Amino acid sequence: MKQAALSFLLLLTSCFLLLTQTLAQSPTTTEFNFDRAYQDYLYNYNLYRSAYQDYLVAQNEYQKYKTLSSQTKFLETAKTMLLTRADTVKTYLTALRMKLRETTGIINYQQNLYYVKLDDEVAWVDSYKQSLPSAGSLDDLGQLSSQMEGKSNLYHYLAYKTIGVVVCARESALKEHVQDVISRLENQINQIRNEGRNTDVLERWLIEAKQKFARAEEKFTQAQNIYGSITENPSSQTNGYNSAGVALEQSNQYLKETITSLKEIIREIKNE
Amino acid sequence: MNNRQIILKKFLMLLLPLIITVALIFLVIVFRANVVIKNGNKVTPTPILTPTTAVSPSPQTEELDKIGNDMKEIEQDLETIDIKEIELLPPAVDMNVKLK
Repeated sequence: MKQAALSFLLLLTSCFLLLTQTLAQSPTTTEFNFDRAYQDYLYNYNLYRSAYQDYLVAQNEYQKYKTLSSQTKFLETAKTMLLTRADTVKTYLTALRMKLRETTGIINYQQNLYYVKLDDEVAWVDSYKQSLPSAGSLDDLGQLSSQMEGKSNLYHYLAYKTIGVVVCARESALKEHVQDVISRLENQINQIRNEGRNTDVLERWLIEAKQKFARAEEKFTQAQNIYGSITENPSSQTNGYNSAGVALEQSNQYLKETITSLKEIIREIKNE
Repeated sequence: MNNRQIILKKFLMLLLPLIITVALIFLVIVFRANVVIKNGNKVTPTPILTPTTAVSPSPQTEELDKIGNDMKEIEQDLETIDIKEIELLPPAVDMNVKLK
């Protein structure tokens, strides 16, 4: 009897130890990264869409009946819609910031510049949200709404600028890799020439590859300039985004062609 | 011919082909493995077994292979790179709310 009790106690102690260890190993907090921030944004965006539908229905009823109850309902749904709109903007700006943080190859000063701008706007939205519940009439709410609407162009500007910084950093990193490969292959051709072998064909092909690379660089610079010229003007934002995208696609295409030429050079060297 | 001689004869008849076969295999192995003198010059025969140590490639070939591998990676990146970041485009929230 005593032995059985002792074994049961031992089993219980080991179970407890195992449980505490497992709990200690499991992460208590999940890392906040772009994916997490983006999921937060999507979640809030969905809440906003739903709140917006409710707001439209309430607005319709208010315009139809003009009663006090329909006005109160309209005020409440409008308040909720504005709150969810603010949350959507806030989480969206946060997702942009996380994207900037996680993209490698962005110049430090550029990254810090947009961090400051995005952080400022997130802080503004936070304080703006606090003022929303105190609005007692549709007029008050209308004034508060127009405060955020006044910042709409700035948010779009920040968004397009951040996208530009991110995609250009990515493309630039790829371009540097291709440049590195060209240099290494050039060294190989020089070595072959120093060994006394004929490298005329290889050199001609390398010049062609370099020309394609130069075209890629040209298009990349064009895209960078377009992103640089984006202002708070909405038409400059969408036009700039579209034409910069086209330039980057062309740059990518030239990089692909450069790689194809370089592959041919390698094949030729190996077959010689 | 007594019984012992008959048994010996039968035994030899059985054993002889076996000995000849083994000797032939042995000769073939020796012939292939040893250096063959041909027209007064030493000719290295092709080894029966593949060499256990592979011939190391020249530094040039190694570098070319490295460049080739890097290019494959770049090609993959070029195929998968996102130059639009559509998911980062601003949300379509109503920024012209009319509270009337």
